[in-house]
Amino acid sequence: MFAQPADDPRKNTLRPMVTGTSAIGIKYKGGVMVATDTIACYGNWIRYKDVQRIHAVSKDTLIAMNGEMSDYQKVLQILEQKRLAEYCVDDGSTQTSAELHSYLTRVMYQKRCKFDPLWNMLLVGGFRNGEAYLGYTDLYGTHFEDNFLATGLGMYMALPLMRNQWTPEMSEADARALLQMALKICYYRDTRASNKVQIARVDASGVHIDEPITLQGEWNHARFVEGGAKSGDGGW
Amino acid sequence: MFRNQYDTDCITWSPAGRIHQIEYAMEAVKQGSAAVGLRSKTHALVASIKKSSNELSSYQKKIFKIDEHMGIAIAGLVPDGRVLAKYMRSECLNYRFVYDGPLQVGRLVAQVADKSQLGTQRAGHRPYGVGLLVAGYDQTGPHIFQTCPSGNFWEYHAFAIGSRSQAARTYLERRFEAFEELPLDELVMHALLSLRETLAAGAELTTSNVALGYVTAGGTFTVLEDEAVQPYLDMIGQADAPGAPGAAAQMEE
Amino acid sequence: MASIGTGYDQSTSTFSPDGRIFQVEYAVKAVDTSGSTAIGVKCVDGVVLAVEKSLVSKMMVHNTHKRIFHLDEHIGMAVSGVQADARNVMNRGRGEATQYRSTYGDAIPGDVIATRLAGYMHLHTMYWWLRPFGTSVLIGSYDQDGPQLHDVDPSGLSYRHFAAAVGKAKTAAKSQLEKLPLSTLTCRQAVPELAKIMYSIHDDLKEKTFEIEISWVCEESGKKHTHIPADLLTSAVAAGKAAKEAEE
Repeated sequence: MFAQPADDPRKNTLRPMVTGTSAIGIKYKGGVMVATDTIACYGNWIRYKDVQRIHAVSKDTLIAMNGEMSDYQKVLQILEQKRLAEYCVDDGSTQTSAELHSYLTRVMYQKRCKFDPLWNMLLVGGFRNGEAYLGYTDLYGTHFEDNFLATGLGMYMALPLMRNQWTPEMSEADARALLQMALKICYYRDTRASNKVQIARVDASGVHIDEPITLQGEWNHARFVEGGAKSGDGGW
Repeated sequence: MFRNQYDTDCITWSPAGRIHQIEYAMEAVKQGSAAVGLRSKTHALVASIKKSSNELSSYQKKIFKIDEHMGIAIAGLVPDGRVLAKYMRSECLNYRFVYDGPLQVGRLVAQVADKSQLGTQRAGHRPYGVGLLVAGYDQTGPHIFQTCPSGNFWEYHAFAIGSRSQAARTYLERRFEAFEELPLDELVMHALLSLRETLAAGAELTTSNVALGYVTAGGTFTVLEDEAVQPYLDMIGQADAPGAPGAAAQMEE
Repeated sequence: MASIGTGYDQSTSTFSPDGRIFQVEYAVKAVDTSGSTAIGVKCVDGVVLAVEKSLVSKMMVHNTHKRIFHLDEHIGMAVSGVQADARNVMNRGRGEATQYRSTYGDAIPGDVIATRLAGYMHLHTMYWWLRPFGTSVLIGSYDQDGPQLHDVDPSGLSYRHFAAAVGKAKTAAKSQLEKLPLSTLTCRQAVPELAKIMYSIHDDLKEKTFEIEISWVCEESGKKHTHIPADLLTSAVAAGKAAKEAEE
């Protein structure tokens, strides 16, 4: 190896390039539900308008992503390889969502310790034996579970809403309504969010990833129509 | 007595398609003091006879806890067994670190078997001279596995390995179908009674020459040794009335 | 085998004066004496694999001692011979499948994995510090080019087949496989036929209890390698037993 000059150190990823924004998820009575929108941005430009950001990684586990798309694709490849390894073993047992979550955290933490993180925040949702599972991990290898979770800007936009409205007795329809509300809030305020969203859930019957839907925004609020108060020219 | 020109290493096939070195290693298992393993719907259990080399020495350790949900009994070369126990422990620990959960017993057993196979196929190595009975409880319930020096492994409802283990297998074969529903106490008694079949004439089970290990759902692998075995020895003492299953078979021997 | 015991048969790295490598032949012998047979057929819509295995003890847990393995979602391997050696080959096969996926982003084709495993087994006939594998395997796959069946033996030879048999009763099995209408046979039709062959080649005098294991990779299984459904196996076994009794 060459000794590199001090002003040109070796660099790995310093910022993400093509990104997905918030992913949000909640537990409800009888399952767990997660949602994302379906765009990937290159800076502020909506570069890809139809991407899937939620995937099933086992019969009863799914993940939802935030952050760098290419790193997420790597994560999916790693998990696919794990799924195939388990298919081969074929011993009647399958890894739990908690185990996959822990594994993902180990991968994320190891990469971060090499100063070459997979630039993502990930939600892991699962349901088995009547128990819902919802966990979070990120580019630092942070690891925790909660009843409702959000990543990225959603942490600021969606979490307060869910904190107010979430109850353990929520039905699937309640959960869907709450997630749609949260997605809409994110869409209003997050410049890199879209109103074309995808909702997925895991319940006793397995993983279900719905087709994307388009949320209707309300843009006729008086202050929106009136425009900026100071300049009076319709801008803010 | 066995001597032939194909039997000095494990990388030479004999004209009959056998590898004598592996067969000799299997012989080492048969020389070791016996171990039995059996399971019910709720428990998996292993038990074994311990030897001591003389009156002033301790009895050898034959039951090893591997993880919270798994333990082994060994027959054959105890040092080889210790190596495999260490390997199994580190694999379980590693799995807990990565996945934060217990490793499936069958998957670990397959790993041990595959590791054993490697030693049977290259020069400069020898096969392990030890057989394991693995008792564990995991996502798919209770399990008893047997591994052997050849790198083969099997899953059983009940099994016995080691010296004079045929007698214990005969005992178990006649009864194993009923084990499914038994409570732990009775499972332990069957383990001890089957072990007793392997003893030489005149020898007896005592608190110092027998050890047990069992595990149940979510439970910790528990080793019973020394005084802890006494209550069970008392129980089989009472079961030892004339006509009781153990007594008859011992007389045949 | 005039050269047995003359010193030319003790190492894989030694040729005998008549140009043979005896160690490889002995390994093949190990496969043929090991007490199990594996057969496979390539049908119009997939591949079916079957093995017979004797039960060493009645205390064994049913269905736990597998002799057909998955190498990937679309590839199955049926083995005969030394079980431990077969697992070594199996692990290599899984490794090859994994590595191919990470390099090319696609499933490994059947002929590629057969060639690679043949290379691996051949490697073990080349060096004095290794011994040849005591196993012959059948590989059933379903890829872009459709279903394929390959065999690999201890020497590292590998062929593609319409129907193949390896292990103890391979000769008897082959002569029966030849009678099947291989150009029109479907997997569903093949399953009971393979069971019948298994029952007819089994030597009752040597081993009384045995079970058969059947898997397929076909359109019906979604081009995935799986063990056949339990009810199908039950009826196939019944057909096998009935045919055997009719014969006697």
